[in-house]
Amino acid sequence: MEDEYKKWLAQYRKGYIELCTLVTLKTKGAMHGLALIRFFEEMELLVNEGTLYPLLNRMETNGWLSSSWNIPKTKGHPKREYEISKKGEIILPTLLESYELHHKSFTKIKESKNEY
Amino acid sequence: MNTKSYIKQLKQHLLALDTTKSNEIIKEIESYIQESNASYETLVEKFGKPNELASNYLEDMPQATPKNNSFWKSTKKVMTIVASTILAIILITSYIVYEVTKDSFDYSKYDATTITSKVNDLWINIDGITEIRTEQAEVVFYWGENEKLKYNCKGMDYSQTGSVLTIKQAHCFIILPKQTTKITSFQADVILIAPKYNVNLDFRQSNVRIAEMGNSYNYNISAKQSKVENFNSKQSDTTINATVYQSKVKHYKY
Repeated sequence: MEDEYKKWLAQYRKGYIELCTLVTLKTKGAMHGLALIRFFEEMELLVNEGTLYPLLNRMETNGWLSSSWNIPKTKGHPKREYEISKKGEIILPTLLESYELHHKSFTKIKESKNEY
Repeated sequence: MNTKSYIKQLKQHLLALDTTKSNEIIKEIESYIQESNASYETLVEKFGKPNELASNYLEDMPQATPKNNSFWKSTKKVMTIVASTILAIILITSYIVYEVTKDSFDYSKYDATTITSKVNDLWINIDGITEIRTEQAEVVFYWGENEKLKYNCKGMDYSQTGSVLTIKQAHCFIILPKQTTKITSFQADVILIAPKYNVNLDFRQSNVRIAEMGNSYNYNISAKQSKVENFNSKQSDTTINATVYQSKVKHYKY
């Protein structure tokens, strides 16, 4: 039962986290993985590293994000920073529209329950 | 267990990915370790076990070069290099063999008169030769107008016994007079350039090439266990009688 729930959650969250990532990077600019996790945490969206890092990788492969290594001039270590790509910016409104439509539909479905 | 072993295990599980992609992922996780000062246990807690994290990365990713393929790819590369090297050796060897064995010049461009200028070493004249025997020799025959046989040889042994000139293990140019009517050869390479008079040939285990030079000949060829190219026999004053055994007879081509 727990495994089935985990599978469902993983499937459900993938698209959702992708959307949140695109929106965040669009509004806040380039960020590295850990900064994104911390930001999501502040927004009460709990995403673990094992989910987000592969997802960022996949989004980059899709062409929705681009990444570059930010090497500090004085001290610190290189960080891989992600930003929304042109393709990502083009697709984002469609994804948002889709999400909102689904959300509305879901609300309707949920509310209609009482009518039966 | 430490973070290095986590990275090592992750690398192993990411072998199916393209190397560049895999290196980027490893570098990013290493960057995370430095940033958060994570331990092995923290990594497992945050990212999952190395195999789990790898499978998350591999999911939906193009696995263009799975490790086995990578092995076959490198094997294929090695095989290609080996095959190319072998091919190159064969080509070079063939070229060397061709260069070494090919005629030193186009013999058919010369006749009994001009060959003596082309090969201007010592030419010997002998009278009364009716038969030539060649053994393990390379001999080019021309037909001349003179009464005497003329020859130019380089090699081991050439001797006269009565009316027979025997040539063994030598390379010779011979200009035959009308009276020399028989040529026998054993394991020899013989070239006949435009025979002018009737001749009886007896070839055994030999390679024979005949340059007709536009002349017509009346051929009587009797061959056993031999490869004989098609020679058109025509009405002619010159008859070539040939008995061929375990030999190759073909048209002369340079």
